[in-house]
Amino acid sequence: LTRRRVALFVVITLAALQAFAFARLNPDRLVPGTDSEQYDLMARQLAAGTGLTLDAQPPLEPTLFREPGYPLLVAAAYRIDGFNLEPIVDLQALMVGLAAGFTALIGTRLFGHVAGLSAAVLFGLNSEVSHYAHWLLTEVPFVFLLTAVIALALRAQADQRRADFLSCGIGLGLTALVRVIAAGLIIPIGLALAFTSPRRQRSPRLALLVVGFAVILAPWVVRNVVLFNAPTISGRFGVNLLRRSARAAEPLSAYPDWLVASAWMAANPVSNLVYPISRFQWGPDYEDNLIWDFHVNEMVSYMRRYEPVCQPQPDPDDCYASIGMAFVRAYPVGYVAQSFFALVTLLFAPLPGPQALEHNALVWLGLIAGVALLVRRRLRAPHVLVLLTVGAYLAASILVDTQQRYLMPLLPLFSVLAAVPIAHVLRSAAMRLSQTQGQPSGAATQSRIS
Amino acid sequence: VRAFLVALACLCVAGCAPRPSALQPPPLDTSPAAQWTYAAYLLGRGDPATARTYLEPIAAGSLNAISDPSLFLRDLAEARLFSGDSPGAVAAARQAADALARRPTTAQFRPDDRVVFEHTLEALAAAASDDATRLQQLTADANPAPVADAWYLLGWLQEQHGDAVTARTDYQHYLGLAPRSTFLREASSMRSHAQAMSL
Repeated sequence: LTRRRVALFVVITLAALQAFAFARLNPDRLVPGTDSEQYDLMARQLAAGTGLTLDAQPPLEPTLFREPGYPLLVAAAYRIDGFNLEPIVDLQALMVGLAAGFTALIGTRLFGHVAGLSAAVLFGLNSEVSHYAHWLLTEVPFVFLLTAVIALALRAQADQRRADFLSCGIGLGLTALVRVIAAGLIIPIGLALAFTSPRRQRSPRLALLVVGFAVILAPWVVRNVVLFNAPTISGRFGVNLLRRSARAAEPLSAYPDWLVASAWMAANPVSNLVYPISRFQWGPDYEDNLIWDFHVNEMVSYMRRYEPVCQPQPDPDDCYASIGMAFVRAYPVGYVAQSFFALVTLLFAPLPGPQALEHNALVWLGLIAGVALLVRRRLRAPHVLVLLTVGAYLAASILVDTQQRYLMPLLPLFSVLAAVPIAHVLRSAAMRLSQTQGQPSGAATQSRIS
Repeated sequence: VRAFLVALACLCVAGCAPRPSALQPPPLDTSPAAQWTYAAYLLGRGDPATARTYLEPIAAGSLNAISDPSLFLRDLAEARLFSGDSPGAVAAARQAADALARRPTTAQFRPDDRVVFEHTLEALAAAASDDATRLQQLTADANPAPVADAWYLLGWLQEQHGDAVTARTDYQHYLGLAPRSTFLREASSMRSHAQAMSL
């Protein structure tokens, strides 16, 4: 037991140190043209006591465009240490380490200690994950909270303690305050916990989960009802939907290019060796590339068509949502067909390079291991909880919005699945090693690693 | 308890009922960009006459400080058309077309985007020129995307000429394509008007 704890502590420390080292090597903190700048502005305004706004100068209008969790965290740091981003980055490096620890707990509960530790290594030492810690973005806090929630849910399922149900609900509420997509996960987690709770205790325990979730979200939702007459967590649904749904109206002649781009991305970076990305270039600029059209350009182009209509409206997101829904209603088949492409853009890294090799290999290994588990029916209640969570997250991302980095919150769970074959190989290797060294120690080795 | 629940329900109903948004005050910032943003807001609220009071001074000067001259001039054409200055709307639409021709094609402003923009401008110019034939041609051109605004402007033109029956048919066509194929700032007001006329 002590060795396992030491091993886990080592992985957590290494993951945090690697993220910390990446942050020292990469001094940029705000990503130009992204939500990073908005988080900084919102946190500065919060720290100055002017409320949650996206306006830099008066009149300062309140906003619900972004969730409040991350700006509040950054604002707290600003209040403590001035407008210094380093404490936040250091905290995020620590969160990477802790998320690796939660990944180990999830993996251990599902597939045993070796798989759990392997999953923690796969996730915690992943360069993509470490890289995100140095930016002012929600990725790392979100993945930290999400892994904590799933670890808590698994513990609640196993031990049936009321405190775990309540904590899981509170954690899920906090996670939804960082990114609204987590709110939908109350359904798969609640369902999985409901089916595995004793019948008599089912209702009170689920009530604890829901109460914990609602208590955290209530102040923010009430504020949005009072200020905007909108009982929501964030006002980005319309923007996300329109980026995704306008493509449904495109004719069949557009599909061959998308299929080629999908196949290329799914096989990236191997595909880049056979057919370099430069061969998709159609213009002189960096963005003038078929892969980039498929991944980014078309979405931006659709948005810009409708900006003149929606941006001046009192509720731009409502305007975008009504247009997005109009596309869904007019082209339901096209919208469903587009979901396949949305899944590809969500799962696979689009640009060639070592990071694509690392990301896409992990995703493929996780997918293959997940399918193998389903086919071999080696699923118990904890596996169902995790797979339902993965399915719900993917479905929500695909139906509404898709960006490659949105898969990052699921990388711990893909790491857990990918760790199954790795753990199998490690066990086999350890067994062979112990057999070559002598039969008596073989049984002891097996018992230690299982 | 019952009285409390009834009061709570009334509060919820009152709280959740849609409220018309109050008019934003004019910007303190007098830069062309800020004035244009406010004019676009007024157009979005269906107030082209007041929008013009912010757009015309900018148009009288240099457009160097305007990020997208073609869109600004399209807004000007729209405001002039719906506030009764048809010759001015034609002139602004032509200037917008010239500005659009100078706008480079990029990965995120593609040939299809350009054609959709051109069709919208042509519809504005045709309506301002009282050219129903050209508007009908535009309604028939759905490549790369239908321009619902041409249907609306055709209906609007028929309404101006007192032909409410034909106008109603055109507005119904417009409503069939809106909101996914309507690109003018006043789309929201246009839809309300078309719905009212189609009843």
